[in-house]
Amino acid sequence: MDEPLSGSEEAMMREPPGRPDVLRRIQTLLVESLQLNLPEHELRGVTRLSEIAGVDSMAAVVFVAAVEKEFDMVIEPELLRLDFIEDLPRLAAYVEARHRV
Amino acid sequence: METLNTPVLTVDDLLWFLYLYPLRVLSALVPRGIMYSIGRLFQVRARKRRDLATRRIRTTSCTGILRDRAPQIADNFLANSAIRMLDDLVLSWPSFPRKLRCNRIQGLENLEHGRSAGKGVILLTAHFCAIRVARRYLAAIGHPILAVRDETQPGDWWGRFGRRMLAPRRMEFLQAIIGESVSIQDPECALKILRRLRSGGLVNIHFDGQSGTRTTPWSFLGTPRHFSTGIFDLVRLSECAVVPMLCLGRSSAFRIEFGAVLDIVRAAGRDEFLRANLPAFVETIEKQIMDYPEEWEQWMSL
Repeated sequence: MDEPLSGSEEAMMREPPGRPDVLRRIQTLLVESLQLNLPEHELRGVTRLSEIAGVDSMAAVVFVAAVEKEFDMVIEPELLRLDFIEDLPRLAAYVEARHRV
Repeated sequence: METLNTPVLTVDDLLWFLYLYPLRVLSALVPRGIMYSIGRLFQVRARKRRDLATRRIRTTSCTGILRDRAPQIADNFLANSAIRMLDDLVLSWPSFPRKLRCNRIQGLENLEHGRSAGKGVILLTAHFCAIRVARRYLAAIGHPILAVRDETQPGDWWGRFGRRMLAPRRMEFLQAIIGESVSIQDPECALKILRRLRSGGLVNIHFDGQSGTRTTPWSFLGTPRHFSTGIFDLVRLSECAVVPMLCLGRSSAFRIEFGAVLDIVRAAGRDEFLRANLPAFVETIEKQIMDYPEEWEQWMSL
């Protein structure tokens, strides 16, 4: 069963989906932080972490750290869940919403 | 894996059945001293284990362990392993907090120092016999610890009966006695650890475990060993403190020592960080093992 949404996540979900450039930056970060060998055209189609073979639990943490560093923010502890982190458009919307505040 | 040659029942099946059912019930009824005596019955196959442990201890090149002491250490190691299994039975009953007798906690100021930065603490340990008892005790006095555990089932123990009937029961039993834990097989394992650290909490990692998807070879007690690199990624990215913890004794008399916060070299890259800090982590637990070899549980898997 999914965990209930937190306040910050609810606020984020009301936001429109992240701008394409934020999503693109996150996709690029994914490749760079995990040192993936993924061509550009394939990368743009990736919307979930689990679509990439070999991405494990630690990779999710490395990716989180890269996103936080790139966007100069700290993701709330309650959002450090795989179902949230691996959904790249949702993550992009969250990052954008946090930057707008 | 079960094959056509897998026996219906093995000696281990029988011992695990006795352990998980009659002995567990008995542990609630009889004094602990009597239980520790009964524990010797579980050493019916101990001669082979003793010989193997003695050989392993002798083959290590630890300067602190004299070769002549190896048989004595092996004897004590086997006795302590049996006591640890009986202490697990103690932890399986709801009344366990009343039964734990901690003689001393040393270095609590080191733990507080580690926590003071608010970025959480990884308690660096090796597989010592009293670790589960100590963790549950610390949780009971206000220091809850998230334990990281490997749920891989030993494949060569079980017969058909054990695999079907006892292996799942053993797993439930372990989950109950270990308390708050996260399995390394959990896809969210590292995120759960990070979550705990970011809330300023404590996470216990057995650094001498050989599990993990990414490992690096290094000399350990004079033998080659593969260490999981995950802990270094977590320390680097979370900037948490690392405090060595040593737990010695048995449930009726144990002590806990927190060592000084490790000096972490803040190298930027993943590989640089690993290279800069791995030796200190290994030296820390090697020293614990050399100081108390009879209380370390892993001689058989060295």
